[in-house]
Amino acid sequence: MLNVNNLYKTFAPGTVNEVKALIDVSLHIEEGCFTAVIGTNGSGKSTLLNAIAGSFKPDHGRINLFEHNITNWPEYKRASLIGRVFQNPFAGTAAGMTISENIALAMRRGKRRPLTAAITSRIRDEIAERVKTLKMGLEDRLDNPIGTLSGGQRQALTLLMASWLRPQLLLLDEHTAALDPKTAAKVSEITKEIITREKLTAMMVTHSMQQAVDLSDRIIMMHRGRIVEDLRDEMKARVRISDLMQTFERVQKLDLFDQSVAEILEQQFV
Amino acid sequence: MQFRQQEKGKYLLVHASGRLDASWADHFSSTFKEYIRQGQHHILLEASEVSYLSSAGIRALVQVVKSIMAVQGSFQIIRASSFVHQTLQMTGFESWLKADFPDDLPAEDTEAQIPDESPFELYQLNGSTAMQLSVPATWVPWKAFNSNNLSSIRFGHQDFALGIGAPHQSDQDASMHMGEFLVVGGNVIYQPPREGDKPDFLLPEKAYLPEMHCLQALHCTGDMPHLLRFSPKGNKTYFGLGELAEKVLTETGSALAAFVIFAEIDGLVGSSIIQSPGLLKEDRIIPFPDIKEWLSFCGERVFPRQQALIFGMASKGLDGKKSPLLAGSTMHKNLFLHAHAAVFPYLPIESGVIKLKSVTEKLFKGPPPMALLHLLEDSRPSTGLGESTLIRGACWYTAINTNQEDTIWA
Ligand SMILES: Nc1ncnc2c1ncn2[C@@H]1O[C@H](COP(=O)(O)OP(=O)(O)OP(=O)(O)O)[C@@H](O)[C@H]1O
Ligand SMILES: [Mg+2]
Repeated sequence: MLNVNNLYKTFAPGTVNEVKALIDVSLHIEEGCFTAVIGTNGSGKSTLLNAIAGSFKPDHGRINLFEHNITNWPEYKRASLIGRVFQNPFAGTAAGMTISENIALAMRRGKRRPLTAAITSRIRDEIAERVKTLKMGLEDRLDNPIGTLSGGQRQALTLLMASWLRPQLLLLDEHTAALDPKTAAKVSEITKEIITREKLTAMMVTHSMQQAVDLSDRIIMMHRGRIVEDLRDEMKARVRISDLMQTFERVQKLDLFDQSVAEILEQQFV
Repeated sequence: MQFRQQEKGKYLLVHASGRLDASWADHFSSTFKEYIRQGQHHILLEASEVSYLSSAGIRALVQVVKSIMAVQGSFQIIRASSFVHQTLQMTGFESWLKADFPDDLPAEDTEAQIPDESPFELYQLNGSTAMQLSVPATWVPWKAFNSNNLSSIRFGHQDFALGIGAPHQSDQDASMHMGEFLVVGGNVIYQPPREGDKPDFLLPEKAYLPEMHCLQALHCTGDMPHLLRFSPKGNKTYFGLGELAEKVLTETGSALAAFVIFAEIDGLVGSSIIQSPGLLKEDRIIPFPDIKEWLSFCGERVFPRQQALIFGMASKGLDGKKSPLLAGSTMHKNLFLHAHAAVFPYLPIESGVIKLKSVTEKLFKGPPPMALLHLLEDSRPSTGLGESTLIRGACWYTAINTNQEDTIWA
């Protein structure tokens, strides 16, 4: 399904600001798998998702999505296969347009048709029906500008739009992080519902271990541009938040293991 | 609530004042658990100024009394206020109440009275005077794995060992699972060679004796006839592992000794195998950074306030030789050490003479081990973590005889 092979990305190479954001990252994600991506700040989570979405070209490596080698595809071309939701609830939608207009746009994503095609009553019914599944009462407000909605409502709609055409891959980058805890929980729940119902393959960056443990099928932990832990199947099933915390600690400690420690071990490890 | 405490002989006299209700219950029990941790096992609660006692307060008292009884201590409430007195009587806890101080309570505070009191107590137990050491498996880092060099050992109640190996499993390739272990009185604690995995343990039970396939093993059989108790006194607030090992060597007067330590941890320093040496196809020197894939390093002094069960072997050395199985200390002169520590949640033990067997029985009935470390000394200038240190506990030890000097000393 998704195959990432030996991906490297260095920002500002050769300068004092050089950051190795991805170092030899390889990852195979199976169809229908919901993968949570966790890790410390700056560990490369967003960079990995951006590389997959085509926001920039990696320095090295290959990305395959289904039968396509998309490594050299431009971002807009990948958008026909990949749905995205960002942290900012205001990023994915046009504030001045109504709910139904925004959704109608999303329905035409990747298709060569005029942007302002009429919303037929059949399409309108379909929109209302799907919006109803969010259980937010938004189906009665389809003609309201989306800018009048709360962050949580907008994020739920963005999610619905991003998954409307059953993208081959759904990428979520901390899409609940800007919401208040209660709304975040609601949007998490909707996320799980949509992904399960539509049988989507998805990757979700999150800082919430709870979310990672509760929602996903698989958990990947990143640190300093590398995947340092990959929990799946029965390992994922038994993992608890405290285990993830311990892994975080352990991984951070690994930074303290330098040449001088190696010398101690060489002397003393018998 | 407020507490004021005085040490009087074996007793800790605590004057409490205020209301022991739901809001203060947690504070109360954590204060008293801290007393127990500090080795105060006989507590007198002077409760003339405790004005109120609720059910939550009684629950806190029950908890405290339970912890004290677990270490064979005593607890009495002296001069209870009439409200406390009445409440305890009505709830059936009048046995805690005493009208007045016990007769053996010294009048004076004893705290700062004996400045020269030793932090050590030595006891002689039963058992033969020395154990026999065998070294049935002698792998050293990072030699190629050869299954012919594995040695299968069954551990019974008199066995003590440390090394690298894997539990006997008929359906699995042991080479994949070589990790560090220690054995105390036949109880095996084994760390699978995968970072983040919890240590496993195998206990001898009736006809069942735990069996390990050992790649490296220092194995001795017999009794631990000596006991050393140590606890902070005056300026002495912790005990280094090397210091305890030296004490064991001095007390036995032996060139080689084995010891088991059960103690509250101040901080441990060590590493663990995180990839099975069974995967080594050829002899290797593993340089940095590749070594990070084989060994973890604690990075800081770890597991303070938890409980360690340590098995170790110590020697004064032999004619300036090096040893492939005992690491030369960088912080203590003429000391060679190899010790593995299993870490458990804190578990207080009674003071004085105590049997190792009763300690391990109690230990393995409780929560499982949290970690297993191969202890190291880190004497890097300025950034070094030092050696593993302990706060209070017990050390059982014995002199060791061996006819395998050639194996131990290169
Ligand atoms: N466009 C860019 N230019 C320069 N450096 C960048 C750029 N994007 C990311 N970085 C750097 O690359 C590293 C990885 O960033 P990334 O955004 O992937 O981290 P993250 O894991 O998503 O962190 P967070 O949890 O904070 O979102 C960081 O050190 C970041 O500063
Ligand atoms: Mg990010």
